[in-house]
Amino acid sequence: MKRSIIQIVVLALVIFLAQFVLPWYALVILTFMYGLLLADNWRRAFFVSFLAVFLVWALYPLAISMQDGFRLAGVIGDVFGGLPGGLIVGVNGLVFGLLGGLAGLSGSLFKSLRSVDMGS
Amino acid sequence: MPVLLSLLTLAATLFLNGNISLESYFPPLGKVLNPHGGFWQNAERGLSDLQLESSLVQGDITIVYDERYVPHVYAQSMEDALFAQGYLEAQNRLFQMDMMSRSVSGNLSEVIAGNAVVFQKDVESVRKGHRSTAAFLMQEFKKDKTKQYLKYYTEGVNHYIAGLAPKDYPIEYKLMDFTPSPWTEEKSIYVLITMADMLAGRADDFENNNLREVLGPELHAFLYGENFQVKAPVIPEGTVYGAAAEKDSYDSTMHSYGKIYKSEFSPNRIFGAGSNNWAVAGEKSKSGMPILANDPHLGLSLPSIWYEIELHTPEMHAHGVSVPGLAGCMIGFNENIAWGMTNVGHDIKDFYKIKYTDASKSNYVYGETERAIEIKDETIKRRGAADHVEKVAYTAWGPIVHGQETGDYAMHWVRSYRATAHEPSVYVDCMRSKSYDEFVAYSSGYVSPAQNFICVDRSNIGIRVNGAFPAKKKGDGKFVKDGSNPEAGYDKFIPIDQLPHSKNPERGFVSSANQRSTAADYPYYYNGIFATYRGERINSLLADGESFTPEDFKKFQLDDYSIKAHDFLPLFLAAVEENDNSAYKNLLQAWDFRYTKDSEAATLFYRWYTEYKRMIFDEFIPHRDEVYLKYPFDWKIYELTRDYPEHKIYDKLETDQVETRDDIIRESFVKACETMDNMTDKRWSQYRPLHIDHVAKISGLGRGNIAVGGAGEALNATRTRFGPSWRMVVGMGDKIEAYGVYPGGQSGNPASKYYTDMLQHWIDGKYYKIEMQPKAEELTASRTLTIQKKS
Repeated sequence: MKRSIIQIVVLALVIFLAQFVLPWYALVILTFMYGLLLADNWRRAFFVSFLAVFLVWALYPLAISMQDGFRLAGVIGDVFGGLPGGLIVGVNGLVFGLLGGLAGLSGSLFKSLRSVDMGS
Repeated sequence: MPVLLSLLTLAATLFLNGNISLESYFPPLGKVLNPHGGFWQNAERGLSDLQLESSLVQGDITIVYDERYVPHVYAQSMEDALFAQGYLEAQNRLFQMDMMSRSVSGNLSEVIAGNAVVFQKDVESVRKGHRSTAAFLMQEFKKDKTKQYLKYYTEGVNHYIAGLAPKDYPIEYKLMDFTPSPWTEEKSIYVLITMADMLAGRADDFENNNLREVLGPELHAFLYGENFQVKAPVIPEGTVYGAAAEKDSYDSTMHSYGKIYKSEFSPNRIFGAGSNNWAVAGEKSKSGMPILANDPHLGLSLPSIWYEIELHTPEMHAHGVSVPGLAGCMIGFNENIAWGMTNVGHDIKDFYKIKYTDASKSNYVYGETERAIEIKDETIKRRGAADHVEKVAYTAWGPIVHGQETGDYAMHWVRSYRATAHEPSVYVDCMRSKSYDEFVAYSSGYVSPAQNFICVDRSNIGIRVNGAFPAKKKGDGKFVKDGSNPEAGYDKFIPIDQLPHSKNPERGFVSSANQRSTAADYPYYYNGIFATYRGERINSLLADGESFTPEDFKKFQLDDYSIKAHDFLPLFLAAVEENDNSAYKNLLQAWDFRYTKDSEAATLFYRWYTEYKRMIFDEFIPHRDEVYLKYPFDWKIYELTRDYPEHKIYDKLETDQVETRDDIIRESFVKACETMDNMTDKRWSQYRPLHIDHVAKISGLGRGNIAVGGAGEALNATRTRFGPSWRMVVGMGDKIEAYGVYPGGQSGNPASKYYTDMLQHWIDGKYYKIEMQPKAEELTASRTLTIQKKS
């Protein structure tokens, strides 16, 4: 449990910092790498990746929204069919969290594929 | 399994990055929602002060944003002030400027993928020859070596763009996924062409050709002729003009009659815009000094068409509104004068039917000779698709814009071939004029879109119908012209000293509201699209009153009285039988002819008049889908109603008996009452709410269903998507007393608190008091920028 938390925080931090210089899809590459190189099973690979990305893609927007009184989140909610601003922040984290989770899972499954190959 | 899952991840990533194109546009959500670079970075988290530097400025510039986010620019020279204006308009309105320029340059498809309507708009732009026009204007404007105002403005815009990181791009660029490209003087010229296309690109030649066929020449001349009494022209009757013009007689060989069938686009634009301006002299004001009012009614949008700005240099201190993309202010005031504009409806666009020598369409008849068609290849770049090359055919008259089986038509537009080097400086020089006479001198040589230039200083008032107007033969330009007849054109223009002009008239006021410029005594013929009721209303209010104050003028701008209703309704009600729909009849009998927000009578009258017009012109119904048509002007329908109750136009084609005016009035009343019965909320503002769309029609960024009073023919000229886009009242005095408001806000960022902060004030009919502030440190600053000269 503790190990998972540490991995989530570290991975989130790496993604957060990387995205200042790299395009948004760095999150896909980083979570895939995490799954491939560090995660010890596919369940952890998925959940750690999901939560790390969720943290960055929901908490950072949340921090921004608290500074502008959710004005921008509200505007984007209006553009996407009238969703409330608070929901936009959550959906933002959820959608990309799932993408990160998927990438982490993919990486981890590649690893198991490789170890099976080596074992035979 | 892992391969499948990885492919799924990859596909999702590519989709969210915008690499997979769909049938309809879908924003690249990965980029858009990215907290580090997407729209989240457009949040307005406190507006921090900025220190910038540029090697292009001549001295240091200080810019203070006030509490409405109106920038006050303090510069050492005009050049620097315009550099700052460019910078500020880019900072707040870059996307809007970009779209306005692209909308006539044929470059919308370059950034908007897979949209057939947008592509058609680009084809229309190049077929109308806008690119050739821009090249021509560029060349003419460059001839004034002393005032390269567009250059400094452009440098300012580019200084802003150069400092932009992708995360700072305006929200629209992120949603539509493209990069702002550098501004050019040519793009400013395209903004000018957009204005000209909107305001001076109207013509009804095709409509008149068709109406002549559908109604017959006699009935057409009766209903659509120019021969009517002008009740309240811009320039009062009896004004003396310079040398008498030679009067040309009507030349019957000039026109080419016959139906014009609809094709892929209509080169004729019938537009719902209009404006009011007026001013009273000191003897009619309480303060003893002139007062000026101006409210241009344009298509309403978010961000607004106007950007409010105050510019201060050692020789000038002016406050006003500008069209982002153009240097200077079209409407405003300084310490010595106030000025404004309304549109002039003169027809400066004609169409010529081309007679080819053979089926190859490579040569056309021009008098005794034949001439070759010139083909220009215009490339339209298309995002995500191959370039499209549109072959635009040019004749001596202009580009061929409309083709159909029976012929091709060339467009001849004064804006496309007439210009002066001084033109782009006019709205800058207005700002620095120190007197009425200086204003008139500075604005001479202005070409298009023609405007009623109104101005007051502390002791003079005046108005001039300003622009380039062809000196036409009588009847010229009413119909499509014969392109094989070289005599069908015009080569002379009305000289500047014979433009309709009124300075300090005896009646003590000047005014304009898109009506005809002059009474019958003006020596030149002109046709066009003109309003009537607003001009009449202004003149009666100003003639009847004394000792006006700015407060009175605010009330007038919000006036929702309809002369049209006042004229028609007694005739309508007299024809209705006693027992017909008596509740509705009583409603109208008690009506004060005001289109107030909550009036149900206004809705009923509007419905009644609309049905009445439709029923009279049932002759149009069989032709409506195949040819362009239009109704006569309301004042003509009024004359018809008042003076010709038995006219044959009232007779319905589909019945055997003969209908008269009163039958049509009664029948349209029954229809209107039925419509009212079916309405859940009959109040005017609910029946006809106002919509202010985003400039690129991005849903969620506009504001809809706004409840306001007013109507097209009232001074408060609100129509579904049009309305007073800036209301300004300026009282001259030792100190200037000025008020202004527009339906929007200064920032173009939808996430800014300044995006729509003035809207509610505008809806409520309130104004902001504008304080001219000569000293930067005395302003209540919301943000300060400095641009330092880099040595």
